[in-house]
Amino acid sequence: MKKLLKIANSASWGAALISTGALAVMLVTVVANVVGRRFFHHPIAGTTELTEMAMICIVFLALAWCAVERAHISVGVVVERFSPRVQAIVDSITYLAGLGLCIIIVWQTILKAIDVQERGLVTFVHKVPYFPFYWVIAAGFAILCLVMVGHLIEHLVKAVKE
Amino acid sequence: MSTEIIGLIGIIVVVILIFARMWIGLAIPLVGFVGIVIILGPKQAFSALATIPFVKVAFYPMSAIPLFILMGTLIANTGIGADLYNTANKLVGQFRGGLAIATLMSGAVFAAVTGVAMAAIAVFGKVALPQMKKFGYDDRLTSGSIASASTLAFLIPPSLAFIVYGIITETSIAKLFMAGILPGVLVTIAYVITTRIITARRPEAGPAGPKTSLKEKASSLKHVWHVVILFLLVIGGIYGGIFTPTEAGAIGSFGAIIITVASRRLTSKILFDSLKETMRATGMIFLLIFGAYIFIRFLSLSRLPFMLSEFLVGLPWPPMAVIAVLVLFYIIIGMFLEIFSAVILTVPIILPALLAMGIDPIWFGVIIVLVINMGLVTPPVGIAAYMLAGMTGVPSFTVFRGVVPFLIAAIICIIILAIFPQIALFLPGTM
Repeated sequence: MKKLLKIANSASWGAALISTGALAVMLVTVVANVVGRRFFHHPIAGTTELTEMAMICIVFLALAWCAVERAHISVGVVVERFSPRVQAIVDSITYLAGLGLCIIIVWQTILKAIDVQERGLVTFVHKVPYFPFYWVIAAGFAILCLVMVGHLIEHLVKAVKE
Repeated sequence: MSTEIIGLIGIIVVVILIFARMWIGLAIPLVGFVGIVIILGPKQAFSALATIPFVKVAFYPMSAIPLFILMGTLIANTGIGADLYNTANKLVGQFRGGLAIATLMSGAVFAAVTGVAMAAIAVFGKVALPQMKKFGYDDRLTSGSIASASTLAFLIPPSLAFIVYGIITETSIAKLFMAGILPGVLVTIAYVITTRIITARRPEAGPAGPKTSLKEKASSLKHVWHVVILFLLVIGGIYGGIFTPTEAGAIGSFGAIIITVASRRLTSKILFDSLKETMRATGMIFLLIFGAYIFIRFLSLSRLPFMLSEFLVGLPWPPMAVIAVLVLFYIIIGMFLEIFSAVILTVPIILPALLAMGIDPIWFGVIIVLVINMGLVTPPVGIAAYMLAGMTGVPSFTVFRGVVPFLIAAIICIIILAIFPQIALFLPGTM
């Protein structure tokens, strides 16, 4: 259990670092494009597609870190009125449902990544292949699944012990 | 079973899952996915899960969200908010209720360079509250003014609430930003007047602060140049058409880094913490957005929004009566959901009706942001109020009592905006 949490936390932290790097790249690219366009009449070619691909890395690699920090939004106003045991049971059920959805997303995104790779789809300007970014989405949700499994086990243990 | 009934059941299940403490960002796509399976079959539903995350996130305007978050966290973490408060304090602190007015004024200026309310709570809870306690302000006025000042962040641009609303409704974010400026000023003035009324009726609630000379007042202004430059850079750039609101996020973040480095405020630890906060907020908002798009797909298939639109348009009521009902609805929604979830979950359902009734989506965006904002400081889920109570030790009930006069002021502002929509629509009309 502890080992699983450690792996999940390390993986989400690593993903968040890559996400931060992508944010820095996006910031510099957009600023350089604005400056180049306004002052030198020379915008950076393909800024839109570079930004869009960076957004995939920024967003999906931050999901698991956000879960580790327990920052995803939920409304506890009703559940908090019940006993800790009932709370743990309800949390276990909702986590299981959420986990199921995330597993389907990982599975379907991997299939999509393979499909996009086989079709050879690339961006318009720089001809960057799209398929690695589908893998990024799958990886982001897979790490989120790991974190959620850790949380689910915590809730199950609480439900049994309380 | 008709698709509309399936849509209605879907909404009920979402409400149940949300109150069962499921992450909203997973509850809505889960229901959306199951709904698409029922209406169109599993193949289409799997296809939605595989394509929507990529297509909707790899969309240029979305990049404004993490960039504006970064700009706001940099400003909040480098002490610029504290400087704003100290300047406002020197300007108006010597009057009765002046320290609370200083909080509201600096909150409005702080809102002009940040887009989320929580940053303002963190800053003013730390800086303004000890000052007001020192001068014997009562807890109600103290906490009410700080909590109310924080809500201005979502109204005065750059506002993340407007960016999310603009993306979901495909409305111009630049025009929404401009539309928030004058209502933001109006609400700030209304809050200041509220403070004056409170202290006129109960002078002991907000005694006068220390007197400052004209020289001190003038010299304190030098601490606000960061914010003035950043605001002019971001909002001036958008208004002047120099760059798009999307690009403004990057320019604003870059400007914030340059300004905080130049003023020797940015340390590597602050930069690291700001990036961490940005990632956390980005993950939180985008799980909601991704989920919303799957839910929107389901709702469109169910045709429920169109049925609701036909029903509302067919009512023998004037549009303003419908708006009044919607405002009441959003006051209730705002009590339970924070602003992003409230916008993402409800706007797609009612937008077709609004458009059919000829209601300007920009004006409506301003109204609902103002209304949902009230929920930040009202029970039972007033996140800003609880955060302030947690930070300061003031009981949350006292905070809730303290914001009541400001909520009345906000409702008066909503009525004024309904009677004079030009207050919101004048600036966007000049673009």
